[in-house]
Amino acid sequence: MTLLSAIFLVSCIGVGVGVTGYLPMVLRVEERLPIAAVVGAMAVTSTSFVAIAFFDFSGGAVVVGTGAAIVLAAPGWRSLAPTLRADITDFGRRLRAGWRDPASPAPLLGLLAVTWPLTIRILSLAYQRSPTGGVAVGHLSVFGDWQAHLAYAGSFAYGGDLDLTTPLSAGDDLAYHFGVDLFAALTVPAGLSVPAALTLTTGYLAFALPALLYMFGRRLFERRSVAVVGTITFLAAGGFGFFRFFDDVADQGWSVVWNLPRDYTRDFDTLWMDNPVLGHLYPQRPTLIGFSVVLIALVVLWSARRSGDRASMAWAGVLVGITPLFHTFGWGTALVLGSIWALTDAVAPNGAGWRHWLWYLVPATALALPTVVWLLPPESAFRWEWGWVAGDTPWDIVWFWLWNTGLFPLLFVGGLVWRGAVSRRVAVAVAPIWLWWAGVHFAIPHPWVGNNAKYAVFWWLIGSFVVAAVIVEAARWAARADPPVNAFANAAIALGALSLVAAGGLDIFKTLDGTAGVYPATVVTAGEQLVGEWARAATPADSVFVVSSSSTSQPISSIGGRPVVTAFDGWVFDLGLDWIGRAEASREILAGGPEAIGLVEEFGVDYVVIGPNELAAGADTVYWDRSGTLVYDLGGFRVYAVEGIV
Amino acid sequence: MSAIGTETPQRGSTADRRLATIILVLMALGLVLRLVDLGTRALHHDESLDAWFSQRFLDDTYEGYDPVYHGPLRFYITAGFFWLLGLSTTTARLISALAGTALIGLPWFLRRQIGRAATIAIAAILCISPSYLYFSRFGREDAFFAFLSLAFFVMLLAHLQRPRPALVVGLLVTLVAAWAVKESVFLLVLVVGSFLLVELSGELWEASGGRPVGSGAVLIGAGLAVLAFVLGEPLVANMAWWGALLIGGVVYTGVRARRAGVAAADVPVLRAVIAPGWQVWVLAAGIGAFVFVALFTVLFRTSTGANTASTPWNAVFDGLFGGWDYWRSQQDVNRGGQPGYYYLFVLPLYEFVTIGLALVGIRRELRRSTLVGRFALWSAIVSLAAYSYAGERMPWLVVHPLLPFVLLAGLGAQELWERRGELRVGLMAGLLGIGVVVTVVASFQLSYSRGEEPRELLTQAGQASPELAATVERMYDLDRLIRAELGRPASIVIDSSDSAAWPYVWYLRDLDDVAYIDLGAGDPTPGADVVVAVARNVPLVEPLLVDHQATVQPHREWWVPSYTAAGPTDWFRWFVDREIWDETEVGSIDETVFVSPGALALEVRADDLLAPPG
Repeated sequence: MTLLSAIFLVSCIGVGVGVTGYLPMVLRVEERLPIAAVVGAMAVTSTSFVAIAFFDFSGGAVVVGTGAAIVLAAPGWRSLAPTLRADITDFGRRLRAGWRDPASPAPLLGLLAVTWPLTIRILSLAYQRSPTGGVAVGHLSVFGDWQAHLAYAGSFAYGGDLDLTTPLSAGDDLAYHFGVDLFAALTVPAGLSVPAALTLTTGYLAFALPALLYMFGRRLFERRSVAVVGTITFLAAGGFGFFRFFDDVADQGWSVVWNLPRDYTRDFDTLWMDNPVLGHLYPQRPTLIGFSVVLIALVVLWSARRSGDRASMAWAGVLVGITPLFHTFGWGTALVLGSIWALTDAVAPNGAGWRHWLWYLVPATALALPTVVWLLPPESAFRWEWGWVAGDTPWDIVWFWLWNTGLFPLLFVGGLVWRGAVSRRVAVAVAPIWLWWAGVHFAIPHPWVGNNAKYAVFWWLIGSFVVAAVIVEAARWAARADPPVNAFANAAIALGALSLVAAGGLDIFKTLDGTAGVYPATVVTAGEQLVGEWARAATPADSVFVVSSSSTSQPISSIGGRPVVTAFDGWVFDLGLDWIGRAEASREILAGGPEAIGLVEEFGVDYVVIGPNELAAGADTVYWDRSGTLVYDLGGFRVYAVEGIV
Repeated sequence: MSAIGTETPQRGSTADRRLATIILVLMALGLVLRLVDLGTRALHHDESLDAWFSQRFLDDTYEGYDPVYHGPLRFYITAGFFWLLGLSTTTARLISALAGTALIGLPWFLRRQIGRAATIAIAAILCISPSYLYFSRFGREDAFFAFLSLAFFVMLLAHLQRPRPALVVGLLVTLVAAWAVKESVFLLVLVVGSFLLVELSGELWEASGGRPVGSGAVLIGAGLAVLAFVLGEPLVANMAWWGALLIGGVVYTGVRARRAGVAAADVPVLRAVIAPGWQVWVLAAGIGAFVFVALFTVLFRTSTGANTASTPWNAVFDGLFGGWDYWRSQQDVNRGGQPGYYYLFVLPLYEFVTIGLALVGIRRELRRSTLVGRFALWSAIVSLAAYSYAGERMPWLVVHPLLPFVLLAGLGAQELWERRGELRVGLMAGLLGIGVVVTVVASFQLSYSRGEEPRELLTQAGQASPELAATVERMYDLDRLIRAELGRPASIVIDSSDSAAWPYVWYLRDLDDVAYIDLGAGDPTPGADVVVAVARNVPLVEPLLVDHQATVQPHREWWVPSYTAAGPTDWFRWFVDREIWDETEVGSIDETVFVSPGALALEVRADDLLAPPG
């Protein structure tokens, strides 16, 4: 981290604090700061996006964008000024009051004392120097998804991608919620490399999330214990996959703990939900904003629906309205769940009515619509399909969810009907999240079926607090029971709670270890790194390259920030683009021949890269030696300029 | 003897809150100043050793305490930073940066005894002074030890005022932690222990009806200490008569107090010993012993210790006696080659504001004696004498004798603040303002732009040159190129003569084919892509490397000035622009970096390719 990048992030928080000044809701310091971190990042990214459109991508544009956000936030600061000092004093008073005090922030600080170091450790392993001189990574998240995020962020930072085309499929629209990657790119003029920018901004947002989870639990369920248990339940969630750990111990002994041989929450065969940290928050950086927005919006709406406060509704509406730029799933969840709450208020005999909901629903929809339309893929992959990956029969589905999420669904249902655990009002409010769970069993909106987990994870997110309420209330019941019932009850509760987090805990532990399994794994070799750096330094920003689409590790887009005809097949497929056609075109160009010339013209290709992956894909160096101009030859890579061959 | 201070702001009062805000702001500023560009300066020889031992602990290959490299605690902590944040020059220095930041906050706990202005002044000096800022960005143990020293004093003072069991435990654990950081703990014990004897004598004297002695006993006792150190060897004998006098004073005043019917509870030092009860002392000693054993057995991983020449016993005995034994054996070595009056030059040249304020503070103490003032005065004199006597006088040790002067400077600032209406004080404040500006400029230059400059008195002894750091980067680039192009690691030979292997050993830890060889002993260089030879071995290897590109660079530079040869004008010139009076006094170990033709051709090719278009 450089001083300038630190100043930038502090500025984001400052902007965020100002933006919360527009919110009439009373917030404690420990609530305002994490909200400010997320909202500030979104605000600065949005204003910088506009500034970049005018001034091109540069440090100056970032300064202008940040300055504009500061100006927009200034009135919020003014309205906060009279109370801010009192809020800080109040925080100190509550902190000194002791952790048993209901207003004490000590449980939250305890939670952060655990989650923050773990976050730092995971992220410090993200990028390492590989033993062979290239780049190694500490987790699949970085090996796979982050290579694409590098390309997105690099296309802004190094390529000044103002025409909003995707670097993964040159010429196609950037139909991806790229906000969080643009946010990362904004730190590059402050002296960071793009990998460092991804790491730093991930950490920044990941620091805020546990505090927002805690806030959600405390605000809706009104118990700090539920907030703490719910946060842990979500972040360490997993299913019964941990039973495989016992197989591993039986096979290899207890020393297997120090070198866990597999993932216990994911195998893409029977385990599809993954752990929320390792399968969603870490690899899919947009979720860091999307989950946060859902939590913030629901807390604000929860408060405003009682009071009918229009300003709070509008604040949440604007926040959710700009969210599609950052995370469409989060936008959809906040909008649909808010709509259901509005409907509930409209039809309930003693409801607060529905008119004030318009202040939320109109901006949340109207502001979002242009972005959402922009993000729609050229061809819809939506299809109806019963059972998702769970199977066809009800028993398959029951088994799938038990295996993937353990006792979670049972406890979730239990919490909704056990009045002692969750109030009726809260139960009615959170119960609709089951629609997200139900939906994944018959609707497949994306090309890859696995993406349905991105919807179901919201069910996990909200439900974690219901489950936590059940655990906490059960523990209270057990504490009141007579011996030996209390002992058995406590043991059962502890085992049940442990079963919810055992698999996720094992996978997180494995990630923290940093040396388990195949990691650290080389993602970019020394030769790939050199050719990527060359592309960034020595070619015009809008140059289009051809590479093999067989691997996530191609360096032209990830290190060079230059667009390629097609990057890794899986990514392009996932975006709903013509991955087959482009992969075929890339192969034909690499192989040379008469077809290559037409394809080069069709895709506006400037350079052809031939390295080990390309040779394996059938690239013809003899053809390109003859037809192209060799402009780079180092470290097992040859790059040809194609100008003039057409 | 029990007068303790000038102001007692109420806990939670507006003034207290305002003071807390100021201290927090200073800590935040201190943290930023310590973290900015923390990894930029090339590693000092000792920093690289500390980092290497920390990495060894992380890798489970650290064998245990060896007094040559000081205590193990900071290796454990730095290893924790390595685990959490990764291995880098920045993380190697993080313990100093954080300890140096925490140090700024400690005066807060003295505010009731010393006053608000003093609290702010001490925190500000610890935040920005050249010595504390520079060595809080330096990956050795000194900032950490300074933190432990002041924390020990803060707890001791609190315990003398209101004895509490937790403070007894805190004191012993802090002492053990300091023991496990640096052998300077012996001097800490000497200074604090002897002060308690003097303080006890004074308390007993006054309690038995004697005339208040104020700082008188301190001045006499400390003066005798200076005499004992000046007399030098045999140190044990000289310390013995000095100690006997102090103990004699206690015995005499004790008998006198007993005859006068003074109760132990009326004597703060005795009360601090008696009040907690023996059970608490036993418990605290048990906890302290447990922590000691844990720290010196590498967290219970070894009982035999490092088994080096300086650690001949087992892990616990090495911890108990090895440090003292080694320290005594090094007395005659005079590592660093600095004279006994070294600190008398370095302290005022860099810390003239602190020393100036400290003189005002001494004047205040002599007129209105307080416990903090007596302790600071005692520590200032005895520490300065002890550190000047000690055989090794190094720049980083400056922060230890300086610490009591900082406390005295705080008292001086309090004096000026309380008499701020007087014209004379106004003039002094003006001078002080100019001094602060000059100090801040000097501090920033030292820490951010001249940290490798040998003409700075605080940067000497082992600081690697920026050219060396650039060469390290070049080696990594070459390794990557050679791996990419030839499929093998770069072959690098580093001359280990003149301790020149460091800091390369740490820097090149990620490269696979690095050999550290004494090039004075023959030709070990065939096929190497890069050979680094120290100057005296260059004639031996140069004929074998005639086709190589040869670049001469300083490995490390130092300046041991002829202090007394320079006149006031010379020192003034040095003070203004670090111009020295005799350039030949700048010493260095130079080295030549030989790069093979093949590696060089590859480097040129890559540079040509990577050049931006046009």
